[in-house]
Parts: sequence; C-alpha cells; structure tokens
Amino acid sequence: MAKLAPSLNHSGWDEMFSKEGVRDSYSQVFKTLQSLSHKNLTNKQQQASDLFMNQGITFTVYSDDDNGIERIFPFDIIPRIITQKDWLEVESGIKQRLMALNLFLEDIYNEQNIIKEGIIPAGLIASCPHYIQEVQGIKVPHNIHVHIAGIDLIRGSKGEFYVLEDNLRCPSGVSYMLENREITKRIFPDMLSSNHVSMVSNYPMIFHSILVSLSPRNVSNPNVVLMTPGVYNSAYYEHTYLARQMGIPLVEGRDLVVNNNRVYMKTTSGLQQVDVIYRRLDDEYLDPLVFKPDSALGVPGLISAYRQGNVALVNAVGNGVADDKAIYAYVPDMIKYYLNEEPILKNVPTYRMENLDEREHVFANMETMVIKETNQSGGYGMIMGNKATQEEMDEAKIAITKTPRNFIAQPIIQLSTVPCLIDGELKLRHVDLRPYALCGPKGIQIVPGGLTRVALTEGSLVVNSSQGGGSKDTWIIK
Amino acid sequence: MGANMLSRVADGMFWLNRYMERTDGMLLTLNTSYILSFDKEINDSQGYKPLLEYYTDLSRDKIHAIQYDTTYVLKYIICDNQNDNSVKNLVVKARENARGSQDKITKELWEHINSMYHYMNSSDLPKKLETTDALKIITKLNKDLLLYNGILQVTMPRGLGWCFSSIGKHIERCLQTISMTQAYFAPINYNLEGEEDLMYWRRLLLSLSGYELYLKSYSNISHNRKVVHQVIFNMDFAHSVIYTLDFINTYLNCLFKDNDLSEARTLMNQFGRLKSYVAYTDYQHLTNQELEEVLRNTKNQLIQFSTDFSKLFFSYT
Repeated sequence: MAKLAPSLNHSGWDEMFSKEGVRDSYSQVFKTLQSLSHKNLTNKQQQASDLFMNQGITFTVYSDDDNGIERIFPFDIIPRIITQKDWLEVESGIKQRLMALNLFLEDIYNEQNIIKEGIIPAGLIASCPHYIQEVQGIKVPHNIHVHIAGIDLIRGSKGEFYVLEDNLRCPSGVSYMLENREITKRIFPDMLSSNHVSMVSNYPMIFHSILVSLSPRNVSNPNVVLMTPGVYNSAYYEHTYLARQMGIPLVEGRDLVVNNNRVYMKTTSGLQQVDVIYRRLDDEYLDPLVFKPDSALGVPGLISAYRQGNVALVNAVGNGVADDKAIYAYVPDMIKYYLNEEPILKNVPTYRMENLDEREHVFANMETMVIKETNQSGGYGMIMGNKATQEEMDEAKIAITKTPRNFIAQPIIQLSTVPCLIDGELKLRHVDLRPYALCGPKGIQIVPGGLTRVALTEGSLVVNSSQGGGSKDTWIIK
Repeated sequence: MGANMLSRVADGMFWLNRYMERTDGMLLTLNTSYILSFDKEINDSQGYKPLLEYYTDLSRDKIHAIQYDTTYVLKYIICDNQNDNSVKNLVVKARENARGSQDKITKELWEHINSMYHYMNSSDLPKKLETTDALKIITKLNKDLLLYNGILQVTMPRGLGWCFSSIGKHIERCLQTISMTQAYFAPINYNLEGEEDLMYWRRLLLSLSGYELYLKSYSNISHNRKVVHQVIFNMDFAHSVIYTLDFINTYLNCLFKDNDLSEARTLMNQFGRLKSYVAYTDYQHLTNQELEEVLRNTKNQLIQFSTDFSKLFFSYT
C-alpha cells in the first residue's frame, strides 16, 4: 500500500487533510486510494503519462545537438476537489469581476469616465504597454471585449479565495482542463461517477456558439477560424485541440489575406471570407502594418478590417490594459464604480510602487514580499523575497526606484496544498486554480472546473508550467 | 464533400501521405532484402542495391561498398539522422505535416503517427538494430505502416482532405513501382524474353506486396514479360502503375467536379494524356526498348504532374 499520510500543512490550508483528518469532500477519493497498492498507483501514474505522450500533449525541449526532446506537462493523478458551496462563491465572484472588467475596457477605449472621475490615474493607463491607442474609439460586437478569461485564484490559510491575476488576452491551458478529465475517466472511472463530479466537456460547444454569435455578417453559417502562431508555438497542441473540438479551421497568418478591408482565407478553391477569428497570438503580432513591422505571424491590414467591423477578433485587441499587474490593484474599485457592488472575491493585497509610502514599506519588509514586473507573466520577472539573495534584492530596489510603474509587490501568501503522488507517496504541494469564464451576448458562463496548477518542487509557490509546474484534474462535486 | 480546404492544410495532407507511403515501400523493400539475405545459397547479384539506389542519395561507389553490409544498411535506412530519407526522418516529416493539418486528420491517425514518432526517437533503437532484435523492429515497423493505412481507411472522412491524401499516396506508390521495376530490369537490359527465374523476380514482387498475387495469376515459366504485366498493367494489383494512375484519376475527378478554372482543365488533360499513354501501350508487342521508354516517360510525366498539381492547389505563400 502507498504511504497515504503526508505531514500536515501547519502554516496554510490543505484541501484534503485538516487537523481532524480527511475532509468530507475527499473521503471517497481517499478510500479508493487506500484500496490501491503502491504498484497499482504507480502504474496509473505511468498510464496517464503514456496517454499524454501518445496524444502529443507535449512541449519540446531543445538540446545542444538540436534534437528536440518531447516532454509532457506533468499530470498528477490525485484530483483536486472543490465543494459546491465554494464553487458558487468562485463562480459569482468571477462573473462579477468579468462584468466590471468588460465595462472598464469599453469605457477606457471610448469615454474614459473612470479616469475623468479620478478612480484610476490617467498616467497609469497611458504608461501601460498594453494600452493600444490604435483601437481607441472602436465599437466591438455587443460591447464585449473579454470573451474568454482565465482568472487565477489561490486559497489563503483559512481556505478563503483570492484573485491572484486576471488573464484577459490569450489565456491558455483550457485544453489541459479538458484532457485531464479525459485521462481521469480512463484511470479512475469508478471514482468519477461515485463522486458526482460536474461535467466540463461542454466547454467547446459553449465557446463555439459564442464565436458564431459574434459574426459581423448576418449569414447562417459564418466562417469562424482559430488563428495560431504555428506548429512551433508551445501552446500549439491546445490550438489544434480546440479547433478540432469546435470543428473550425486552424489557420496561420500566412493562410489569411486582407482585401478591401475584408479578411479572406486561402483555400484550394480560392479566397473565402472570414467572419470571426479566435486568435491565439498577442496583439503586437497581429498586423505588421500597425504593430511589429517585422512580424511574419500576423496579417497585413487585419486591424483595419477589424476597425471597419468586417471581422470580429476574440479576445478583442487591447485587453492587456485590464490585466496589467498595476491595474489589477484597481479592480475592486472598478467593481464598485461600474456595478456599485462590493467585490465577492478578494484581491491579494497589492503595493503600488509609485506610491512612496507603500514602496518604503515594501523595501523595509522585502523578505515577506513577492516583487512582480507588471508586464511579465508565466512566472517570469518575479522575485520571492524569502528566497532571493541580498544582491538580488538590492538590484530589485534599484530597478523599482528607477521605474516604479513597472513593479508591484504583494505579501507572500502560502498557497493551499493538495496531496500529490510523488515517488509512490502522497506529498503536499502548493496549487492555484484557473477557472475559464466565457462571455457572450447571453451572459457569462463558467464551466464547473478549471485548471489546477501545482508546484511540484517541495515548498515552491511557483506553479507555472514554464517553471516546472504540473497540473491536476479539478472536480466540482455536486 | 466540403466546399474548400486551406491550401496549406491540403499540402500537409498530401505530403503526410507521400512520406508515409514512401516509408511503407522502403520498409517493405528493406524487409524483403533482409529476410532473403539469410538464404546464402541464392546467387544474389544486387543485395541492397535497388533499395539504396532509389531511396537514398548515396553515391554509386558508396552503394557498391555497402550493398551487402546488412548492419550498416539497417541503421542507415531506419534511424540515421544524416539520411534525409531514413525511416526516422520520414516519420518526423510526416508528423510535422500531420501537426500542420491536425484539425483535419482524426485523433486516431494523429495518435498513431505520434506513437511511431516516439518509437523512432527512442535512444536505444540504433543499438538494438545491431542485435537479433533487428527483425522484430522491422516487423513492428511494417505492422505500424499497415496499421496506419488501416486507420486512414477506417477513420478519415471522405472529403477534400481524403482526395489530397489519396492523390499524394498514389503518386508516391506509382513512382516506387516504376523505380523498383527499373532497378530489376536495368541490369538485364530490359530483356523481356530473358529467362530470369522466379528467385530473381521474387525480390521485386515481395517489395511491392505482389508476390502472392503473381503466383496465383501467372503460369510458372518465362517470367519477365509476365512480371511487366503485373507491375504495370494489372488492374487487380494495388501497386501496379495503371491501378495507381486510375486511383489518382478518380480523386482528380472529385477535386475538379465543380471547378471550371482553365488551369484545372489543363491539369486534367495533362493527367489524361499520361494515363492513356500507359493504358494504350500494347503490352503483347512491347519491345525491350519500349519498356524502358514507358517506364522512363511515365516517371518523368508523373513528376511533372505532381509539380503542376502542387502549383495549382498549394501555392499559398
């Protein structure tokens, strides 16, 4: 039998074990795990890895001899469970947040009332590298800018949820949410049905109907495509997966051409007009005539067609201004301003480095802080005060003092833990949660689940896949 | 049939199937030569030469030096990174094309190509080829290709993608049949009245999956002219030149059904002339020289057709 009694998480919240023992929501799972031998569990872990490998759910690591080695994103077979009660709070909190963020983007690219009324400083917007002047005044279909959002959540020491960051541009990882469930079905079929786990597999259908509803042309069968940077992009598997699940063409920039402010794809029987583009490349690569002139990934003239309203882009261009880490601190204010409501989900306390008092407080307590660059993501541009050397902290102070707008600081929060199967034993590892919210003309829908990312290194709080993180299937139990 | 398809994706499916068909043919030829190499009493004048001449870029001298060196050939053909046409490199190229058209091929097909890719990249494969495991490896790879063809047949939708896949596959197969036939007729000066025995032709026929059919269809004497009938003119033989051309013709008709472009008509006429050239060749009175010409001209015209076909459908850049 595997060792199923890990050391308790004394400093934070563990999702499976409390001081009294196994939490109710995990009792069935724990019972199943207890009934399996060490060999059986290890076999299941290996089976999951093989399934990922054979399905090509991999990324390539290049070595010196230029021969790429394909690796899978590590998947831990022990599911992460969230109760219905907790999920309802998460769901309503994300809906509220997304509603406010959409109103903010519509406002910021049009009237800018939130600036005029002094809620957000104009300088903060103007200095944001992801604020796109070129789309100022644009009218997007149904006034929706964020059609798909990945909101990163963490749990504090009492199990309370915090929003760590909003991903409103090209949030990735949803294919792992879906594939993780498919893998779990194969390795723990009984466990899934006996726990009454909510379904996530309808996500592509919901998303596809939203994409179709955004077509500028009033035609019965608009052309919707998924635009990828190409086969060498690290998220290419996800692009192909979603295109296949939605039954839409997977196009690259070179497959598209703009003529007379309309976008066409090059097919074997000539040009065919495109109505909606779910694009999985960043704003700055979309159109070499407007952004990076040397980008070969985009389509010349695309932004012009977009401005004319002849093609819908999902997500809208310029959303980066709303998920900038410095703007993040103002989201609770946005919720109050646009919705006249108190935020349901809390922000992690955030210190704005432009504010001298807050900066001095951070400098005085750096070992308890995480410093983040506002224009970085994926775990890059981050300094953990409790792990950094004195030299690294001194360098950070100099950089912050030089360009305070480019940094924020947050107290280090001990993320909650979930047991993982490591070397045949259950060991506690830190996790976060990224649910995916879809926003269309009929409102906001969130499939009950999400991507649980796990920091596989003992004690690590960095869950990003680019930093060695893995993932788990996430169960919302009814 | 779907109304259209991205040119890039059509290109990807065309080449995916050309590469897989090439791998299939090459492995079958390798398997045949390898198994027959155990029969030392056979007076084998060529060894692996036909395989190396058609499927590699090696120089004549190099081929002469290694044409009986089984271990070298096995490693060079199966997993040598420097050989552009090794099974490993062909599977890599096939997979790249499959990745580019992943939303148009089935999950089952993708997973199979992917599992072949991982197998070909396993680090111990070259070492194993030096041992008695070599035969197991070749057998496994042959079965993988059979399975690929089965999955392709059973799971892929019959739309435009299927047409491009089928045309790519059969252009490649036709070129293989012609080239391997040349490899066995050239050393005997295309002598149709020669007395080469069945042991000589067995290599060619096994390499083209046609040995059993030959035994069942033809009497057991004066093989040379009968072999020509089987590999070029036999409509029941899935690797014959005429069968593959007929197959290409069927799928060209599907592609051009609703296409009134003058370029399409030109290409269709070009292919019609090629097919008629073979179909109306008088097999009964074929001379040695005419056989050489038919094989050479058909090959050249098919290569030209493939180029023009690509220009018409895949010029997306």
